[in-house]
Amino acid sequence: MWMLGLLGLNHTTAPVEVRERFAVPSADFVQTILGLVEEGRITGGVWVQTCNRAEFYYAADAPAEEVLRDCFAAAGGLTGEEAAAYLYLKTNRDAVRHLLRVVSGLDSMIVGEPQIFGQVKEAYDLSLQAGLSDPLLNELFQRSFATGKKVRTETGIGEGAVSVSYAGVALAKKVFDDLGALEILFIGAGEMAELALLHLKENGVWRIKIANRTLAKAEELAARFDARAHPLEALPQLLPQADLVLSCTASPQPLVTAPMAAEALRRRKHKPMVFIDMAVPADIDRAVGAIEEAYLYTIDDLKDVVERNLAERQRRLGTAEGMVDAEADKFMERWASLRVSPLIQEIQAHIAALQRQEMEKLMKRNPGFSEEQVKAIQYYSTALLNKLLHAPMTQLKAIRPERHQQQMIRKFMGMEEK
Amino acid sequence: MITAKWFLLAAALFYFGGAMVAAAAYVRARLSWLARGEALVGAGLVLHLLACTTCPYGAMNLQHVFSLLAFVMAAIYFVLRLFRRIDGLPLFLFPLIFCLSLVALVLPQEAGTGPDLPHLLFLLHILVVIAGIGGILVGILYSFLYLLQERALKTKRWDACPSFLPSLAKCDSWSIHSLWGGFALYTLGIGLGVVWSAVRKGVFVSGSLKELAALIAWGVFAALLGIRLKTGLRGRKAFLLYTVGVLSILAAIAGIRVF
Repeated sequence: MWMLGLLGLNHTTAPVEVRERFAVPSADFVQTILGLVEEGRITGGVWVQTCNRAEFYYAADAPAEEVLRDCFAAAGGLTGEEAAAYLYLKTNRDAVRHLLRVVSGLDSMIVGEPQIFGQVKEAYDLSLQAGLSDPLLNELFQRSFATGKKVRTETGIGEGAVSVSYAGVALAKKVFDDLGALEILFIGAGEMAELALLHLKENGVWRIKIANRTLAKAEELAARFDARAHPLEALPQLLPQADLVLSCTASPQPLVTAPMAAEALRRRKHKPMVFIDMAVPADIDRAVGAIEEAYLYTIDDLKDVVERNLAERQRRLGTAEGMVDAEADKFMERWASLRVSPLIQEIQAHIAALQRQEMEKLMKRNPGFSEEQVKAIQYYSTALLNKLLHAPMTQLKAIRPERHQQQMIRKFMGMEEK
Repeated sequence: MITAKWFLLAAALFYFGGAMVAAAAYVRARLSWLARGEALVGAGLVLHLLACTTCPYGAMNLQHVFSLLAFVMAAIYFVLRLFRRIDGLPLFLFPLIFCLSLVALVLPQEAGTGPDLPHLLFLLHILVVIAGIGGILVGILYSFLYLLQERALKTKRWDACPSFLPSLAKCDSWSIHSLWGGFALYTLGIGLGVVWSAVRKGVFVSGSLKELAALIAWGVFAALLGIRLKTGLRGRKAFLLYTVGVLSILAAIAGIRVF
């Protein structure tokens, strides 16, 4: 547990064509890594692969970058030289900090995106199952998950929709709360409608009607998404039942006028309606937005929302980075303590063994000692040794010696070097 | 000797503390702090209960009305809380509870001049009426939250709106359910008052100004709820009309001392 390292590439260092090559690491790569663990070149590793990054986090007792670099390149079918242009290597604190940033969503293409958290967790679980776990990596990844949650909760860096479709869904939730109970009306059956339908379906919407000038097209789209098709002429009858109206047609004139919307609201007893107009020129008369209980948004409005949210996330980035730095420092402190614990245990075991040896010699030379006398000597020698060891052990915990220093201490104590 | 006033003062302080902590929880987006705010208000509620039990039995004046209203609203909150977390409501409800208890504290304390027998029926009448008003006030608070959310959506700044604000549909649903629940209790309270009048005076309705004011207030609110049923009235107009309705009820109650 003397070294933590990270070897990888991401969306800032490699184009998507290169990242794609690492989508699934080859079976050879996994076997090679297991071999390196068996040889003791590394003590454990976690492979994190998403559409925007491929990274290998490892723990080792000695530097292992050279051999890992070649393995990593081979995983993507590249040579070492080809991969060198895209790879980055980070060690110790830099590697720790990088992982904390990744899990907190600070290293993502869209800052604060939530998916990376689950992806890293899954990668960690897979490495545990593959027998690539290591106590130090376990400690690091558990710390990273706690940090990720803390950063997201305290800075709110993941809040706010950052894509137009998410913004549309978020808007609908602000009005209606439960999307599953909504009735959605699509006006138009083109590509935009299809994309929006996909997204809404993912969010639990199932009562969908599609109105289109060409009924056959509406029916085709409706069949694919388990919706109902209607001709455009039925719009005045369909509007009162619709909670959310999305429109994207090539109509040169507005299809939904203000009087039509007002009548629809009157018939549904002024239950709110949301209109999202994705068409240019407008499908929905802008005067609809002035009607109470009618909420009209254009695609530009949703884009404005996305831009504001992205800017807000950037603003919160500074605070989040500060938190990550603080957590990285805490982990380094903890790691230093973990490194010295085995030495302390070794010294205590060594002293205890010496004490046992001397007690045995004493018993052989003095067979007439009573049980009470033996116990008294045992008690006295233990107390003396604890007293003698107290100051050195305290100092060891404070100074946290490096590996070569620990070797010197072992030599000094007459212990076997490691 | 610890009198009702000291208990009420202590309760008001806890309500204040709870209101401040709840406000901080929402402003700093640390909703985990809300539990502490609720604990403070809960402690205030217990002290308030002690205040109610140590006050002169049967005395009913404006101070008691405001004090009881604060108590009932705090109690209603915790009853609702048993079923689910109520987003956004503590931010406005806790300060309202504090204000009502503060009004009760500053109003001059009058000697008990309320009716004497039968105490229990009269007390029940007052409690149920006040519970009804409490429910109506909660409904109006939700109507106010509806307004805030509506404004954010209309100005297309909904993404800047605090995330704790419930959706428009939820605000509307909780508002109308609270209004109906409060109105039902108010109606029951008036019914109990009629029965008490029959027991005490031998007539169901004596025709006093006080009773007339209460019935008019009831009628105004019933009409408002009827309009809502028929036309689905929401938003700013609904909030203003409900406020007029509850003010007429409060005026009828405040008129107790005048009439």
